[in-house]
Amino acid sequence: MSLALERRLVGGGALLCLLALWEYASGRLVDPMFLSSPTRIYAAGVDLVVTGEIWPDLIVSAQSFIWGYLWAVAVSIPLGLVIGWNRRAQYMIQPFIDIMNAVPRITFLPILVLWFGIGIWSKIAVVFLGAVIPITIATLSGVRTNEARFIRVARSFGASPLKLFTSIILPGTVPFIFTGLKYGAGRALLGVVVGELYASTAGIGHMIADAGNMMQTDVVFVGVLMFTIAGLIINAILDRLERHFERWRPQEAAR
Amino acid sequence: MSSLRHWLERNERWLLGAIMGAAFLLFWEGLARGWWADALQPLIGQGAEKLRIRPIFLSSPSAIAVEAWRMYVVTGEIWPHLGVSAAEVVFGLGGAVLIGIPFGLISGRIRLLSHAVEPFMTALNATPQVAFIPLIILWMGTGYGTRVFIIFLLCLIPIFMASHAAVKTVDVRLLKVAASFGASELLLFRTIILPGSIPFLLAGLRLAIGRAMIGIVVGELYGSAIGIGLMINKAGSTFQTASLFVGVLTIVIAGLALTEIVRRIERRVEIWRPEAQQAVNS
Amino acid sequence: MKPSFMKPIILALVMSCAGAAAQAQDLKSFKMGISAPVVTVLPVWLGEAGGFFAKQGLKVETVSMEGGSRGTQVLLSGEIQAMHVGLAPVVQANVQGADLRAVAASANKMPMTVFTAKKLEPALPKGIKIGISTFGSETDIALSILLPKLGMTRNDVEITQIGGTGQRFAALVAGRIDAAPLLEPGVSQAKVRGFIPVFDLSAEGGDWIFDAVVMTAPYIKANRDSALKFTRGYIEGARWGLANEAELRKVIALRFKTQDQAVIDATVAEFRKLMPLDGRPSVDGAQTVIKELAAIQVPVKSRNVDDYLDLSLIADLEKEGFLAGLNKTYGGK
Repeated sequence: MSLALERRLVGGGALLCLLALWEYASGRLVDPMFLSSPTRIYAAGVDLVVTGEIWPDLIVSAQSFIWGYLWAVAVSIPLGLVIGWNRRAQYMIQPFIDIMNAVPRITFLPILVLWFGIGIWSKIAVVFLGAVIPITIATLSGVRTNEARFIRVARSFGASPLKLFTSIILPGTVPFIFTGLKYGAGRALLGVVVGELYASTAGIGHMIADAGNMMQTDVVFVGVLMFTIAGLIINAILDRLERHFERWRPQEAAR
Repeated sequence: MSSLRHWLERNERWLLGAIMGAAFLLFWEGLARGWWADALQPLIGQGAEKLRIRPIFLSSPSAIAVEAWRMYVVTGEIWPHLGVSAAEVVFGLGGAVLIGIPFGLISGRIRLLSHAVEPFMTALNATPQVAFIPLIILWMGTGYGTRVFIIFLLCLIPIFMASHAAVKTVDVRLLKVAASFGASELLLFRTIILPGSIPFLLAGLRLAIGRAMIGIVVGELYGSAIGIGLMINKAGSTFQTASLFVGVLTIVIAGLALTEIVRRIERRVEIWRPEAQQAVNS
Repeated sequence: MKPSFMKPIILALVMSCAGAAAQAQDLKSFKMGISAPVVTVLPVWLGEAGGFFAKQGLKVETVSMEGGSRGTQVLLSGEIQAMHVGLAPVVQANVQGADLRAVAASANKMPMTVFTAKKLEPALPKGIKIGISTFGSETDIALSILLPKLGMTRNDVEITQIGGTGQRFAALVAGRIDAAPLLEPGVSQAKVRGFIPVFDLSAEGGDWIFDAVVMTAPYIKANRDSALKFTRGYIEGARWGLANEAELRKVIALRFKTQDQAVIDATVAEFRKLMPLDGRPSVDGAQTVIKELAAIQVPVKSRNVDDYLDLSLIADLEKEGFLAGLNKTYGGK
């Protein structure tokens, strides 16, 4: 039996066991109002798709995620590279990044609404704030953990700072950037939920909140599941991109 | 002259940080007091009003400082809240470490188990876990135990994942050599796997601290006793923005302090990589 | 950035903007925040369903706020023109420097009934665990009114934050709390479950502005025309719903996403009971709110109801004969 097959069998089996247990417990051990059940969630999901009710919400959430995340990527990678490379920039900016990283984003919501309105822009801003910090932190720590030996060797051969940057620092930082991108994607998705809890007219987060108020637990789970699936897809895309970048790098020894 | 320069250079780090911090606070105070709106009014007209922010939205550094002084020193009303929340973090985070690390290491080491847990981990990690909090309240009630449990759950995932991943990065050659000399599994764990995993475990711990701080705020959305999260929520719903910021800053400072402690430990552990930082900085 | 990947998204964005612009061409946009889909928001939905806002030249859009106090902040930011919220958050916001006014009300009573999961002796014994939405909210204040009537203080019971009426109902079912004040549709659901109603605050609690249309004073001053138009559409919507039960039931079924006739019946009855025919906020109710807030240590500076209510809009509608016209068209209750 190949390893990949074993992995799928065992993983899938465990997942099926859990679903079966859940289905059994619901209605027997626990009131379905609290836990719903896999079949109910599936039925609710199919219903939302067939009636087309879910699409407007999905489109709104996807828009705020994509724009917020792309903005975050565009800002945070250059920012992280600069802070990691320039000591003075680091001293000036890093305290803010550390603090922003520690402040719960919900604190910023009122001010974001004030500046960006209750439309899609305030949601984009929440997503942006969620993703920009981890990607910046990952990028800058990537720059700083570059092998000092390589930098010294390159310097002693008279490499210009630009050359040093493009040929050693940047490639060495790529794996860190991807770690940040993945973590940032998770935070950005959470930002969609948080942003839509507050002053929203549509979106999956809005759908979850609404269903929660009506005690439609199955719809809540459908919404949460949408985020799970989105997270998995984004992770898979990033994994693939990362492998693409990694191909030309020398492989590390034993993994 | 040169001694001043020397001094400046030596203290550059905190000087630059302090200058930026002061500039930021000044900017913030100006937003609340309408300095910038007044100054830019002739230039950009009505658009400048966006820079005048009423205290009910953002408060101001001076108002927050006054409120903090009142809550910490004059009335001391924040201390009981702080004590309760600190205990929650200790129990929740401590539980997550005690359970997450051994289970993560074991599941990373045993192949079949690893295959069984991985799909759950990936899925759970991609799920906004805060959406489950209302359900947890229904299962467990709103007591103190529930709040500890919420923090525990939020912290468990990064710690478990870090330990799980750590085992996989251990050099297989080392394990093979040791095993061929007849080392027992326990010995392998103690001498190779655990030491090799420590940097990962610490990184997981750092993530977990951040999530514990979030856990204080979201876990205390419900319930009746005291706590910093509850204080923040109450201040928010009664529009006392300055108190809200005192609460948030308390959590932020606590989070930063804990993270810094872990970072110090990390630096000690990472002595094997001493040159990187110096080379970039020089 | 891959162009093939971005293209549909850009297209969708452009199209959504264009669509909104085309619709808003002849109707003036008016955004109304609601904290939760409850019975007292019905006039907004009815005004929309019956086309009464469009008749006034407004396109009203409802925005979910997840909680009255957050919505109040958005209202202050000027992003929405009105917010549907009780008077208690209005007073609390004004204490902190806001300038909000309630202009029309859909409930001058507290439409809450306190339920216990089991029959208890006495009905609410000491040491009981009671669920509320959040501290400082209407449910919290409801307890401040109720407990003294039963000879207890807040220290005699355990008050715990649970969330909206749906969550409180679920917590009762799960046995996590012993008692909770509930609103429709929670009240009828609780009756179906066989829970015990111990205290009906709408019958015994006196006047209380529980839910109202709130605007900022500067907005009313600068946009009196729009404010009047909205109020007309709002009250006419309510009257239309009260006179046409079939339409009222349709709106309830749509907005509450339910086909449960018992729930719809109860909601219709509740709406009839609560909605004042002229939409006038009760001055007595405002005074009770101010008094009770002071009792739970909210530092209320002004006890003058005019700092929280603006009755001049309804007075204008009366003067111009709009209210009398409604009485003619839709009759009494």
